[in-house]
Amino acid sequence: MPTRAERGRDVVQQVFGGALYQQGRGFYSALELFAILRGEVLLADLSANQTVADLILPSSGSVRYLRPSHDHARRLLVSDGDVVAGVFGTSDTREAVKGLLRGLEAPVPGRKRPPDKWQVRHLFPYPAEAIHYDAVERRGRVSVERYQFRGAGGLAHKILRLDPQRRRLDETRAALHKLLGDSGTAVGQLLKALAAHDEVQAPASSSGLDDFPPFEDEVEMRSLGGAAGVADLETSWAEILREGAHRLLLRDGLTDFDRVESLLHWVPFCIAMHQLEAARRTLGRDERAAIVFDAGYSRSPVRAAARSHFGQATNVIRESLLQTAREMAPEVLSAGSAWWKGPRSFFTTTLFAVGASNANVGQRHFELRPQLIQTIVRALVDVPLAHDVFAREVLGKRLSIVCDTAGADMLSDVTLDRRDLKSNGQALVSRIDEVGLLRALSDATLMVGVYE
Amino acid sequence: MIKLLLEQAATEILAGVDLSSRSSTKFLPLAKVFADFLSLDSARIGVKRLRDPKNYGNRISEATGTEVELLVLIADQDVDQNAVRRALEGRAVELVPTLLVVRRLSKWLIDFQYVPKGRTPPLPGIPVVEIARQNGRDAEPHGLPEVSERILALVGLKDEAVVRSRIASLSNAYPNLIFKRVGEHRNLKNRIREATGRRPSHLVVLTSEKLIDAARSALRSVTASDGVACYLIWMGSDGAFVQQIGPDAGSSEVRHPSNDDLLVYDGERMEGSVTEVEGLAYRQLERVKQIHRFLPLNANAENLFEEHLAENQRLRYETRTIAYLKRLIAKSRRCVIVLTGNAGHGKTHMCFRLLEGAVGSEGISTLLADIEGSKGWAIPDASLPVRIVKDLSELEPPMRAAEILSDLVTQDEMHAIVCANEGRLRDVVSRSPQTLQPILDALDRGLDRGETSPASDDSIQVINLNFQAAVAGDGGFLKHVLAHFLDNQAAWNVCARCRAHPDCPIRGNRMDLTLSPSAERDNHDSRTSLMELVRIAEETGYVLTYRETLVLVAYLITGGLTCAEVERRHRDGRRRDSLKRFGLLDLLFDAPLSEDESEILRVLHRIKRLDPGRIALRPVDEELHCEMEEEGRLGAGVFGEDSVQLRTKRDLDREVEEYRALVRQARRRAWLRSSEIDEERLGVSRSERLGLSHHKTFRALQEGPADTELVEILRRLVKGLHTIQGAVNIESKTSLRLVDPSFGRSGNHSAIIARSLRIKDLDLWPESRWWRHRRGDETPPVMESVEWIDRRLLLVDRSNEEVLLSLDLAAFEFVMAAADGVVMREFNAADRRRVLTRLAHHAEKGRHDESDAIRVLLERGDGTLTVERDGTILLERT
Repeated sequence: MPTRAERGRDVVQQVFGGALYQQGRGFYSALELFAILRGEVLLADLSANQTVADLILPSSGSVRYLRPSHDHARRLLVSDGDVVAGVFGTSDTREAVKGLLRGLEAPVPGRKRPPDKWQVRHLFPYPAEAIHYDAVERRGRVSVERYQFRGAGGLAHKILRLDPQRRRLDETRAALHKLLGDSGTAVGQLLKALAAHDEVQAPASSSGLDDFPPFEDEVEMRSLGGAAGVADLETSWAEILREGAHRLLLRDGLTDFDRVESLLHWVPFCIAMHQLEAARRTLGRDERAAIVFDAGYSRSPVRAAARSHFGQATNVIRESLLQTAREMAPEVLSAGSAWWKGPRSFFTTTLFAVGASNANVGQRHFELRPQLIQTIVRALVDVPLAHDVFAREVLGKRLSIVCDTAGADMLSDVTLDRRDLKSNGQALVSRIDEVGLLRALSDATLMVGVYE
Repeated sequence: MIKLLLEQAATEILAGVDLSSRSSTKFLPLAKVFADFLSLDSARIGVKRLRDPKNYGNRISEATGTEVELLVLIADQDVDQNAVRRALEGRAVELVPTLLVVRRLSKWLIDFQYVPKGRTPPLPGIPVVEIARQNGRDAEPHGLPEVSERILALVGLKDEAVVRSRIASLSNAYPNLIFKRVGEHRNLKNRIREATGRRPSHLVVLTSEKLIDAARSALRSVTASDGVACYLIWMGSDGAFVQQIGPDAGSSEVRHPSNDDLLVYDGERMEGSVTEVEGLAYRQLERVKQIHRFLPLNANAENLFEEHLAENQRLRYETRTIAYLKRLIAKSRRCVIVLTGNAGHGKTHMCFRLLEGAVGSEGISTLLADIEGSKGWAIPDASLPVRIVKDLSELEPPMRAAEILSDLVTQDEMHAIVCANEGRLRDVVSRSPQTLQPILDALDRGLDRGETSPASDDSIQVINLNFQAAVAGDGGFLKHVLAHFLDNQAAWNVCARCRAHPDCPIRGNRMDLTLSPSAERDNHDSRTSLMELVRIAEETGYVLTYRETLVLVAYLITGGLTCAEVERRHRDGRRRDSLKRFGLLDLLFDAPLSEDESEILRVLHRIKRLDPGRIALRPVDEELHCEMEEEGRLGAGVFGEDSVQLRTKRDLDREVEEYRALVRQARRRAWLRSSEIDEERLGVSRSERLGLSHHKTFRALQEGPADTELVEILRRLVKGLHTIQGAVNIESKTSLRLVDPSFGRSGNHSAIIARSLRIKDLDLWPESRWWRHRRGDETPPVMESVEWIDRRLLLVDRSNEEVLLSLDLAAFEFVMAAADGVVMREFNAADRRRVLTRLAHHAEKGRHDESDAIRVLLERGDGTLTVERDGTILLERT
């Protein structure tokens, strides 16, 4: 007899096709994906008898990977003294290394001060040597297990590996293998030196695999309804995620750092939007209904519409869970607890982290902030497009985002003045310009694209 | 009955008359009919056609005189009968019975008869309007001895313009003096009657020598009947002659030039009389109308488009591009020239200029119609006929444009010039890439290496006008426009005689900028300041088209006002103060722009960022404060001498706000007037007053500074780049450190060094120098094809010939300012991101060095980290 918690988990799984909880919010979903992929790359490097295609983003079967923890470096971040005695020649050295590590931390959106617990402090996944899995402290011992990584990254991983386009999948694998292999840079060397003192060590050679068998990720396996029913749970965002990730990994003109940084925004954004679309589907609403995104710098009718859409979106997520629970597991409802808050909070916090909403708490609206614009352009724009084409085809038709007059006719529930949308569109132009993705060719033509 | 018959006759006669004809006899048949019916002499019947209500007075003055007994006014459109009455009462030389004949559909009907009080109406059965003389004569005709004296003082003046302007100012001072200039025999009488209709006390007629007799006799008749003091002036070989034609018919006396006369009134005294503002009328200046037409804020912006301008109104400016074009088409080799760039750079203008001389105005209209450029034009000095497509955007659909462009590229009997906005050009090329790709290659090579043609084929030339500067050399196009609008004193003479002139912002703005000798002060410094400001806006990367330059200058002179609007505001005492907001400095830095205006004048957004009013510089401010104190401009309040009671916080706030506005305005004015002498005295340059501390260095680098200076500049730049990468305040005399990109965005004070570059391998070159370097010291063609200024500095690594960073003025300022240790993460987010992305590229390139030591930048100095074999980590500080 499954427990109530397990039934609740099933409901979330049923609606969104993945375990989307508050703990895995923000960048953690992308960090989880990077951890899985890096683990696969490490395993692939150790397993001479298996091909890259079997181990990195395998098209079928279960997923196995190694889980380096970087517990030494992360514990060092919050410790005043040595974590492992004798690693640093002097305290000056230790403090210098701590200073460097602080520069390598992944941001935790919405927090003013870094948290005190090392378990929630993660390293920025660049260079590849910095990538690590979750770990916690149990009875004074470090244990590598899920803490923040609840399965959102697993869902993204599942989406990527179920890519029906074989060629694209192969290219993605190869690019990931290259990007997430050891960088050999100075930073990489330092991180390796620190990882040598981790309490939990990942095997360093193929012989070690017998003692430390690779981790088999069940949560990832269960995502998108497990082996069966995948097609039902996929949304249009799955394809968008695959296409964007592929382009980010392969496009010219980006540094490796740019690729990692963009993926760090792109993956959570797609997962959160997938969550919304899945929720709408559950309720039988129009899955691809357009959403108004604000790009302006002051209060406006567009912003009001974006706020109302934000409220509607969070409601849809809650409603979808409650409705499914009523059908599937009424006992979950009787508890009177706000169990649906976790998935909802995943949605709102993730959008804020990637720059798709204005704030983490309080009055919120959908917004296209510069980092998200940069990510979208890098992920979806191949060759420079005229701005109106970008607004109509990419933002509008592809992502169902209304930001400009180009998408005005996609809105059914709100009516916005063209003038307001126009000035919002102009603000969008200046934001695109700000991040260096705009080239003004002549009065009438503004080209959006990657020019670096 | 008689009315009906008259109307029938009038309808028949007028049906056969061309009303717009200038013939003086066209109404004779009509006069005859009226004479027959009313038993009058037809010579004593005046007939006039009324058209524009504002000319009613003049027409009536012309038609009435001593000999006229009946006046017939005809109008083929609706007339305001009250306006007619007013005109009759005010302007008729003699009041006579008047009939108003108006066309209703095809018939002509007699609507009203205007009858002087006490006279019997000439026709029965027609509504009668009684009229009576309104304007009495204000002063005795000869009660103004000073006037006569002043008129006689004109004797001997050599310059007709001076004579004219003096009489005109006299007529402003004395409303009873009317001045008329008569140039043709034909309308001599009418002009004089027009004047006498106003019933002046003095009438001065300026005419040419050949018209003297006619004018004299016309004037005699006037004086005989009206007792007006008349003066006839003409320009003879010795200067002006003046003849007074007195009331006692015939007596006249010609004043010949004499030295005494010349001494009676000098220019000063005459000008002095002009300041009696109250006696002046409001004026409408033709020049202001012309300038206003350059502002696309209303429907009259036709001056902005070459196509709409008449030949004599076109602004002539010899750009370097026209000369370049002429050189290209003079070469024997056939070439296809594509003029590209933003709309408004003057592409069409250049085509017109090329055709000038070769074809007349008919040719221009052919060019306008020939959008496909099918005709080959014979242009002087061109080796082959030239086909011109004056705007590729006019060709629809784009596929058709691609066909035509391909045809031009592949044919080889004629040269071709194609004007195309860049966006359109790229679109069209993408439709037929096999033939047209070289055009885009040329465009890209222009951006990259300063070339105008593709590597393979120099018969294709692409001139990218986005490189064109409006303030190149010693002032370029902007200087030309300013001179064209402002420096012709004759066009602005009327201003001094306008009632609004002390408060008129248009006149004030001109006075701030004109270099004409009549200006109140030497404006060379103001001009230079303005030109420098606009050039700085260009150096920050703004592409200022010639069209926008025109709009900018027109806006800075008029503020969007016309003379009529100035008059309206000036008349209304409550709105008069609003004129102050249209001063040059307010328009540049303060004026809130409407949505339309900001759309058109994007450059003003750039300029506003450079407001000298917001920059506090001690030497400047101290001097300004002293000046303001001395002049008593600080007034009362906390900051002035006489401290008044400030009771509430609001009082204080207001006081502070006023003081702030005062200081801002003073700083702006000081910037505008600042000269090189000020610069030396205060040690503050013009650009520093605009908040640009490193602009001087930016310019110095373009001229090639001494080696020692260059090293100092580079060291500072390197320190700035370190700070931007998070390594705050890390100075280095020898090398530029590129931080590992993983650290760049953290803002942490320590980081790992990915790559080091020796400062002695670095150079900071203007873009043109880099291009020249790559072409083996040859001048890049781009610089010859347009009016060029360097807008970018390139940080070049000479050891492997690569460009590390490209910095426009704004980015250069940002990096140099960062050397002081502060980077505003949010405020400078975009600049910072751009610099970091570029540096990250180069950091990644050179990262893979094999040494075991990890070089680090730390809060307190550099160091190396080494990982020992046993896994311990050691830091060595260097």
